[in-house]
Amino acid sequence: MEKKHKEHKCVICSGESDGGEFCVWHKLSYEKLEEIFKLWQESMEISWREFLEEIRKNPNTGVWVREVASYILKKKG
Amino acid sequence: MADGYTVIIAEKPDAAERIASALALNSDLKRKVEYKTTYYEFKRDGKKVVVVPALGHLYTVTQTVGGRNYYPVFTFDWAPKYEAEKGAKRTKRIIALFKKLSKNAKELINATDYDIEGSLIGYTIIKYAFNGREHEAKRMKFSTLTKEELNYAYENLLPHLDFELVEAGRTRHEVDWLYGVNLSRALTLSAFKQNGKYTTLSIGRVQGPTLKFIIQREIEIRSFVPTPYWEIKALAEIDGETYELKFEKDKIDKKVEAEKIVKDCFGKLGKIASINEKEIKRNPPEPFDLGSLQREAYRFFGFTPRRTLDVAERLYLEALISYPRTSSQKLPPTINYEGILEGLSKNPNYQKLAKLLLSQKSLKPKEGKKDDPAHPAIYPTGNLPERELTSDELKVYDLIVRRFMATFSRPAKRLSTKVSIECNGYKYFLYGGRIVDEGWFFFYKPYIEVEETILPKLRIGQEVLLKDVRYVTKFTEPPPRYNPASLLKVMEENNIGTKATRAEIIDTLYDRGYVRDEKMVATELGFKVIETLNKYCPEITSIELTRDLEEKMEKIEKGLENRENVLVEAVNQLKPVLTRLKNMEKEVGAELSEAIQAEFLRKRIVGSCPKCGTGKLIILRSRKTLKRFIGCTNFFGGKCKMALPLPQKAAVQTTEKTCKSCGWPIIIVKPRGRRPFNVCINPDCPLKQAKNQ
Repeated sequence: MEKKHKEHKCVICSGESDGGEFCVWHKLSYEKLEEIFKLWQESMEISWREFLEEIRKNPNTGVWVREVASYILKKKG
Repeated sequence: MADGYTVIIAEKPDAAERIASALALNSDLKRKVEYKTTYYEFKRDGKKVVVVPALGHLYTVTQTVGGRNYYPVFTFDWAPKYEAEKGAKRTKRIIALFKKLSKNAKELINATDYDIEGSLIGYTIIKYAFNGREHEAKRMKFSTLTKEELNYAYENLLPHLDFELVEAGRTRHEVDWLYGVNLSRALTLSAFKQNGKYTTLSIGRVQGPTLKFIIQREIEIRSFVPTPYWEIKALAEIDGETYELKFEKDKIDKKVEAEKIVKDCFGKLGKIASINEKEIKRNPPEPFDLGSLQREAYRFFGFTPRRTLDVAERLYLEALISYPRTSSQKLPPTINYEGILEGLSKNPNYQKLAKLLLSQKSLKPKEGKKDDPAHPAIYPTGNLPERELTSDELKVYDLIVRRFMATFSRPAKRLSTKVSIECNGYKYFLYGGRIVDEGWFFFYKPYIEVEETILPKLRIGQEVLLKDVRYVTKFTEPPPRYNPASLLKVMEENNIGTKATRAEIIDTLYDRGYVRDEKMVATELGFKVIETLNKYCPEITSIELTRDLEEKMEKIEKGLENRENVLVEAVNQLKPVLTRLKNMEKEVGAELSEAIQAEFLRKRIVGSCPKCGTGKLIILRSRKTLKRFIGCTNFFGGKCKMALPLPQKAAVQTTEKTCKSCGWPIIIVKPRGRRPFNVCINPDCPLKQAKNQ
């Protein structure tokens, strides 16, 4: 029961999730990351990991996006 | 009635004094004080006249059944303000004076500001303090408090009150009350029942959609992913001088493309392919309505819309400018252009400019599209200040005077040159420009920025050395945060709120802790309030619904809609919403409580502790002395004893800013009745020491 409860919380902010890893705002940010990554790839040669690292340190990056990028980088080690 | 008199109702004490002085002519003006309220008495045409000030609204909408912790409430009535609001004690004395004067009042004249609020202020006084004599009262209509206009308005009284404006005002107050009281109570009581702490959470018919604009922007900013692009920066050498060129494309999407351009053009010779000269005309600006004045004052002086409105109202009460709460961009000839300019020519600051305009063959102002049936655009009266103006007043007055004069001037003309340079198949442009006819710029200085770039003599086919070409990596930026002026513009564009209420609504968002900082950042509480409303009652934050209701209220002003219909519609909209909120009180309360606590804590956190480096400095209150001070959160674990004093009599606000000199946190101190100031909390801050020396 407790495990199921945990599954419904965002791994970043503990906000309500619809069963996935993220709440609505972090999910939105993740989707935007995926979408914009394609634009980066069209502009230059870059891997997903390099992209996330660039995004994490860019001052224009939104706070939710930075949290998602940091989470993915940390998760993948 | 042998000793009957005329009672003239003014909106404020300053207005009463000015009206009385203007209308008394050569008669003996008596200043009287009763119920601690000053009013004026004089004789005119053999009649006794008294001018009595209100203090804004003396009556307000209030509920007729149930207590404060009760909703929904749909039954209401108008009552003296002091009965409904704790901070309105002064209104009791003024109402008492009006009631006393009502006994022998022969004739009643409403001389409050000619707009919805003013009309309603006068109407409620006449209806409730003068025993329902609203249908026999007359109306004075004026746009400035100058002697001439006041006397004209008195001699040409409107035969009855402006009932359409009154109805529109009543409806607006009643609808806003229904929304504000019910929704605010629903949110506040839901949170209170959940966490046992009372925090006022307000939301209203206009406040909800306004906050939603900020939240929508906040979502865009927080979820923004930057995209790279490249810009080409190029410098050309012509006749030994260096000029900056503009590349044909603003943005290059691919890095390899930018690299190729640099490789192909750096240090190469380009050739002038064309030279185009064009005269560009810039028309004079439109006269100020309230919104454009507020935006321009924010742009040049950093004044919030509220501050500009307050200053403009003081200038109006000094009879220096016309009524500022206007949405008109028209200056009708009846305001007497020549008379105003002649008046301004007596002021050494504007003498030269005014005389120049007076020497023109004719005076015709540039006007905008917006109109207001009640008042013209904001204009100076031409009167000279009777007292020394404050710095804020001088700034706003100067802006209004120069804008007014600029509207009568001719367009400014600029000769613009565009030189096209080709290099290895790429195009670069060199731009030059100079003013050939200053036109209205001359009158509007220093509120106009003019850039001039004089180019040397050039010819087609001439070779130009591109001595430096490089690319710069840039990233797209999130949309800017709203500031009070840009938020006001969005409210105007979406037709939500009125010119009189918008500035106040923006202030309320700050007061409730829904937003912070000048570049408006939504707090977690603001976010949660909108999130909760969107979840349980999205219609409350709907811009379309608010606008729709707004349009209906505007129709009442024009006599095309009636109050009852609009009230019934508002109640029908609210009933299902409030039922839903009541049924979900527990869920709503739980969602809001967390955000309230987070906001409460955020307001108390001053910054990181510079002593221990790990704790947070927080505003605390001593249990022994009950005095406020700043302490470290590590104190409770016995790790840090950092403690700093705080002023006890002034309000204190945290900022998230740090001192440029020592890096310690900065707080804002707000002394009562004085302007707030920033202060570094470090008692040994080098900046403070330097100031003391």
